[in-house]
Amino acid sequence: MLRATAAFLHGKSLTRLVRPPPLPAPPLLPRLIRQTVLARANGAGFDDPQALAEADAEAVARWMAGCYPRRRYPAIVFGFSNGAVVHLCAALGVPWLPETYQVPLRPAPRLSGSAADQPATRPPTHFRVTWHRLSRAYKAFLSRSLLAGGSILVVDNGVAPSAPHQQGGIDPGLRDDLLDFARRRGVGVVRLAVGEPRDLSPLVADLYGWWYRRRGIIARRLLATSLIVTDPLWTFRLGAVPFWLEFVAEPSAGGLERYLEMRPPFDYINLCLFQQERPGAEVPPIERWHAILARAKRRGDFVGVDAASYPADISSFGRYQAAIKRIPARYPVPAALPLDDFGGFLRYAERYHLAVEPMDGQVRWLQ
Amino acid sequence: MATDMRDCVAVVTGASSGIGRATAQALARRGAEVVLGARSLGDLEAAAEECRQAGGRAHVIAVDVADEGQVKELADRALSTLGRIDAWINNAGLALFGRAEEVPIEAFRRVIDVNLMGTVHGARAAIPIFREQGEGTLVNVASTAASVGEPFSSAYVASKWAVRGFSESLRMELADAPGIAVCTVLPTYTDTPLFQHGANYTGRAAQPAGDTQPAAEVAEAIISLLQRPRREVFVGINGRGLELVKAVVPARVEERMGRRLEERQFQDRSATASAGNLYAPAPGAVSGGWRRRNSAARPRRMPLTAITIAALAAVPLGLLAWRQVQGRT
Repeated sequence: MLRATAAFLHGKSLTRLVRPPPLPAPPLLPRLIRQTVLARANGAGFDDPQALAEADAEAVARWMAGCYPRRRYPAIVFGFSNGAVVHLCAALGVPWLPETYQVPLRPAPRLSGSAADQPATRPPTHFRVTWHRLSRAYKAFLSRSLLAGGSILVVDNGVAPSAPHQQGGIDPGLRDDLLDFARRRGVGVVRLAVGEPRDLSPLVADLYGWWYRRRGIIARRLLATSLIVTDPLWTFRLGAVPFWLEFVAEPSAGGLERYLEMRPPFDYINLCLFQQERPGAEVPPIERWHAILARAKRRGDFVGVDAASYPADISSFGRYQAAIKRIPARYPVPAALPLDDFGGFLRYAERYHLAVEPMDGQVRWLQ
Repeated sequence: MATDMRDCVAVVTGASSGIGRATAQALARRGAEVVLGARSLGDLEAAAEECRQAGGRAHVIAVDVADEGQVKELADRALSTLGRIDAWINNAGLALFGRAEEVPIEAFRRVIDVNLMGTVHGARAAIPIFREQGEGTLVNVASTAASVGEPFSSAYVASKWAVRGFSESLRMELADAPGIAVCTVLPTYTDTPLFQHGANYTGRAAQPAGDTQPAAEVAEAIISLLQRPRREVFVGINGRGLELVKAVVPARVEERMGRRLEERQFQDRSATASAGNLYAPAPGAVSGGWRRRNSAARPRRMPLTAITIAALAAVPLGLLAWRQVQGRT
């Protein structure tokens, strides 16, 4: 997702999202093998804790910050991995710095990692690394990249909409460092507090729809993508309203259904379901996704999804880029949406069960 | 044998008369589905009937292209009825004869509203549809008057230069959509009722200042653009040659053009000041009957050798000008 945001700010499409799975002809493989391949499709992985320790967090931060074009931005976003944040950053033309990252592991029984999303009975596939301080690389990036009078936008998960002032998911040490940095530099800090990552999807989708209409483009197409398959450049090129599905599972499917119920019907709905193994999650039957596609007024289609091998469809990554380009629509990529306009749109934030809360300093665009 | 265009849905504005009507017929002969737009429903129905007899399918929608709402409505109805639009031909145009300082300013503005703004409205209606489809061809009908000015037609000339420039800008803006083409057609004098129906404040009846080509020739040029889009196409004249000559000796071209038009563009008989078809449609027809009248006195064409020499001379001058422009950044 970081690479997707950075690629867009470089004016590029993300041509290869991840290392593609090594095995061809997925439907011919037994389901178990496909799922194993799927679990390892995210990269090379580490074999043991020693290697993990060597993965210097400072170097990772430096690499992440270094992905973005060197220029000054009106805002910089901090937050957890979230596809809706990628689209938000693309709209505002600003970079996003993750406050946590995952280190992939080769499945090895002797490891009993602290990966939060894995049950104890299964070997972990990833370690999650969270920053407790503002890393030197991030601080340097903020110093050289934030425009004078700019803002830091913290997208914070795990905050109940009814209690926006609660702490949320951001690490207290990191938060204090950010506020300290902001005070020294005279930079405003705003927190966009959401309950779950997926709660941001309807707001970002409606922001795009509203912005398209303002540009005289009728937002006819909804493009729902899952997990990390997201390409802001092609979203704009298709004139599509992006709706991010956290997982190809409940409750993301229900969230999309509720979103569609509350809006005038889209002419076209495109669904890209990249399936990642998520034990314990209720994976909806393919019929449910078909029913979502059937809500389109003119046409609903999967993008790069092989319905026959769903849900263990390991090749959807490889097919996605080609499939998305086969959608004929071609719209221009706009200049970034000014923060003032986004601030105006955020007046409706309550409608989306999220809270916008200035944390420190002057935030002119929110007034 | 006409090429098959049965899959093509085309919208033609100004389809009740002249080049627009001829284009609708040419499309219909190839089996295309044509949506004819103009102000007069009666003339449109007659034009549509010609299309049906020629083997095409035709629909009519009354529209004044100066009104963006009406043009959007035309596009919406065409799209909802036919499901797609492959080609949009911005053809509707009016003429106004008279000196710039003597014609009523409303008349001047009306010509700009129809010729230029009508083209802008058509483009703004068609492009969103083309973008969603990922393809489509927009044809804007300009004139050779968009290369070299003419006296007593300043509103018309200004509108056509503007249409040509607008089209050029559109092409650049649409460079990100390779399936969408914007083509400019620049016909020379064409045998249409434009000269009879145009507003005229000169005191003399207007006529084409040179030999006219049949409207069907312009229609064929438009068809060829739909089949193989190109940036600009002159019809009935060596427009590029003319532009090269003008680049070399602009003052001489202006002087000769002015004199020639003054001598030839008006008949001997007088004509009362009239707003012509500016505000109400005149009876539609493809031809203005000019080819019969003019066949006796064919004007001399510029000899090809002169054009070639001028072209050769223009190359170094053009390069020099280009370097100056480049150096100005």
